[in-house]
Amino acid sequence: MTDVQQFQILSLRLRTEKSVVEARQRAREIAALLGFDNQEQIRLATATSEIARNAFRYATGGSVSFTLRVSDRQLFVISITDEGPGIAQLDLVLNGQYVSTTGLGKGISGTRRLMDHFEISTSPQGTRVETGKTLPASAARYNATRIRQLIARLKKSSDEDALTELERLNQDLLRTLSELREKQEILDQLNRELEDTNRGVVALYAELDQRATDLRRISDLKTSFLSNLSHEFRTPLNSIASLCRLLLGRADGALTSEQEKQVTYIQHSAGDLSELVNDLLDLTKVEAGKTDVKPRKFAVEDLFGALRGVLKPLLNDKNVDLLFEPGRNLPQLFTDEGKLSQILRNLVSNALKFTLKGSVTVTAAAGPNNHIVFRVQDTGIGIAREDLERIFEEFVQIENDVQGQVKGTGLGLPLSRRLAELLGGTLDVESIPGKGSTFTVKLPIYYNTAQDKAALREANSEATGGTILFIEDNRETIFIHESLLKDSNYRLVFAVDIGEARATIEHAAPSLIVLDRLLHNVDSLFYIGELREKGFAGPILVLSVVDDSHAALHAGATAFLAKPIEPFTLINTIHELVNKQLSRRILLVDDDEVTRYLLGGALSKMGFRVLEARNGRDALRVIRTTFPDVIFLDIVMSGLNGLEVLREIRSTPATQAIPVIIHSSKELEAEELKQIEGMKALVYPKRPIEDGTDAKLRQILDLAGVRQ
Amino acid sequence: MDRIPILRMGPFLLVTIQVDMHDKLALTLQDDLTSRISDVGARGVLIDISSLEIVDSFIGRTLANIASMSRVLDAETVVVGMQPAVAITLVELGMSLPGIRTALNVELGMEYLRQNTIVEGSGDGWDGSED
Repeated sequence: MTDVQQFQILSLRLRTEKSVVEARQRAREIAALLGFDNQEQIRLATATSEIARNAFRYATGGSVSFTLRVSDRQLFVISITDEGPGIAQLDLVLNGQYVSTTGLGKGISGTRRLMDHFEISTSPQGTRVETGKTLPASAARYNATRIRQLIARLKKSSDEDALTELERLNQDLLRTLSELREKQEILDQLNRELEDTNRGVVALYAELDQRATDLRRISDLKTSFLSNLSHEFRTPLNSIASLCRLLLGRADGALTSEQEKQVTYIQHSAGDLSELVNDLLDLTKVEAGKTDVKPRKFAVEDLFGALRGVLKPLLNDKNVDLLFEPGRNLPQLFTDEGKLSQILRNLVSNALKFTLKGSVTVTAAAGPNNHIVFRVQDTGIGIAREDLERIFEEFVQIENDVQGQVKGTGLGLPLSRRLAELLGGTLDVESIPGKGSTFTVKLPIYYNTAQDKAALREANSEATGGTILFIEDNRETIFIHESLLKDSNYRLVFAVDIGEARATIEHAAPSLIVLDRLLHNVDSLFYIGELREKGFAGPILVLSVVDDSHAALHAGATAFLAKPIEPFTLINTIHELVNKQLSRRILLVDDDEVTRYLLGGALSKMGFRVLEARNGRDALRVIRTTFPDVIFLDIVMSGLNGLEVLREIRSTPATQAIPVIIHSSKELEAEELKQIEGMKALVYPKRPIEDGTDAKLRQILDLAGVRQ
Repeated sequence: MDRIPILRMGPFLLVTIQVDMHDKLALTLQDDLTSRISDVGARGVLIDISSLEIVDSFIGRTLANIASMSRVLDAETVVVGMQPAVAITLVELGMSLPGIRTALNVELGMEYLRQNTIVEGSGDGWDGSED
């Protein structure tokens, strides 16, 4: 037996989870210093970790001590003690048979395998584990001095610089990550707010649209009311005027002078009223955009000459001069002479009304930008500054000395201004009360017809190309369609779902319906059937991301385009479909070429597009691909006969609504007629083409609901 | 509070353990990982333990837990870069880490994940984008 020397190297307390980590790291360091190789260092560290964890976990703490036991061999001993409740099933634990509820049950038994030396003693007062490993033979022989040196080196390396640094970096990384996450959240938040705002804006737009529509409708109503009323007034007024003329003409006997005076008053009143009604009618016409501008070339001198003649009677017993002063070198005008004359007439007669003495001067001069400027200047009572704009409002008459004596409708100036605007110009007034007023009309020398067309399109586009109803739920797509077709002559109506489409279709009367197949995640093909049932015979273009033209055509669509769609393809398809619609297509099914030639010729002359088919099969093929507007069908044909073709047409949903006219020279039997009637077809017997044929064809086509 | 950072690379999560984890930290990592997997719908998890020098029974068990939990969440776990000495010690300790897929290094681990996870919606698989 040799002496056993014991050198205490280090001891530490197990207080926190982190001290378990510290214990194993210390074990590794000391092992390294003692000369263990890497593998042994890790074994030692792992073993320390297992036992230290047990102490910390089951006994909530304890202490670890590292010593070197030097005898004939050198043993690195790690002893861990705790004051916990002890280990109940030590035997099982040591065998590795114990099944842990918290760990793997490998801690103690595994440690035993890793180490050379293992002792354990446990009691209800605590547990002590001592485990160790023999230093390799290559290791130095340790004495007290060497151990001191070792301990000194240990302290130096325990500054844990690297670890702290790493932890700091770790923290930085985590902080950056969480900052990123916060920014992401802020972005998300902003995004959500933007989306909300967007929704709000869209809703607002819709509301504005609605308001605009309402206003337009109300204005239309007012206009049509006024125009109706005026028409109704005219008839009795004309009667009154005529009767007055009769009475004054002594047609039914003499009048006393008093009676004559009374009838004359009646006549004047009727005249005034008639003038009012005419002005009102003119005004409503202009407002409704129903006034046509008929521009033509004329010279200002001629216009002034005519005006002078017309206005002369107004000068009767008045101490006022009416002067016309056309400027020099005036260009010829190209505008609506009648309307210009009406404007000037109104202005002059107005000026004369409010001018008691002095003059009324009408001048014309060339203005900038190819405009001509007419001025009507009077030396009358003038208009107060605050009334300058009011005089252009309808039915406004300004209170003044003269106004009491002169009668007017209050419509002359508003009407004149409207007319000037209609001709692309303006009407303004300047006035000095007591000195007189000057009315200025500025008009373009050339009335611009293109501008007129644009204005018309703007003002509810009398859509020469017809109306297109887009049923589309995607705002962006709507926007794209709108911008694609904004320069076309179509009127565009949009519906975002079937409900809106149903509501719109009546008054929109579209010539083409463009239907997005997927509306708010609902397949909208079913709506085609509904449309056809309700009698919509026009073309329906289906757009879809799913390239399934068959389904669309089968459901009764006229054409199909798969998204994404090239803009020009869309425009061309729309043109094609609408134009087909505008010239109605008639399919002639007859095996006799001469009949097709004759009837086809007559129908072409009437403006229809004629398609032909030689037999029943041919006919069905054409019908399925082109959906003609009406079919003339022969009965007696080889292969499929007319009745069979008709049956086929009626049993296919897409074609069942197409009007069919049976066109045969066969004397139809009662049974056949019943069948034909049952399949909702009309009969037009084959007759020679003669003078009355056009009218008869038109009649039967009318019956079929097809008008050109 | 200490945390092990979890990085997202396309459909995968990458964890590099660079500190000697105490037990709580290991459990935190386990929780963080499982919730990240389900949050982002990750298809794979790569845990790099190349700088880890001590894997005792607890950490080993935690790794195994992460692997089986992520499998339940439809994500594959690969543990890469285990040091040979650590591997030997683990086996001696009686832990064979069943159910943990390992790879020698990060590259091979990534390769494995790419080939063994089906990434939704594309034929070309992982494109490295963050979305």
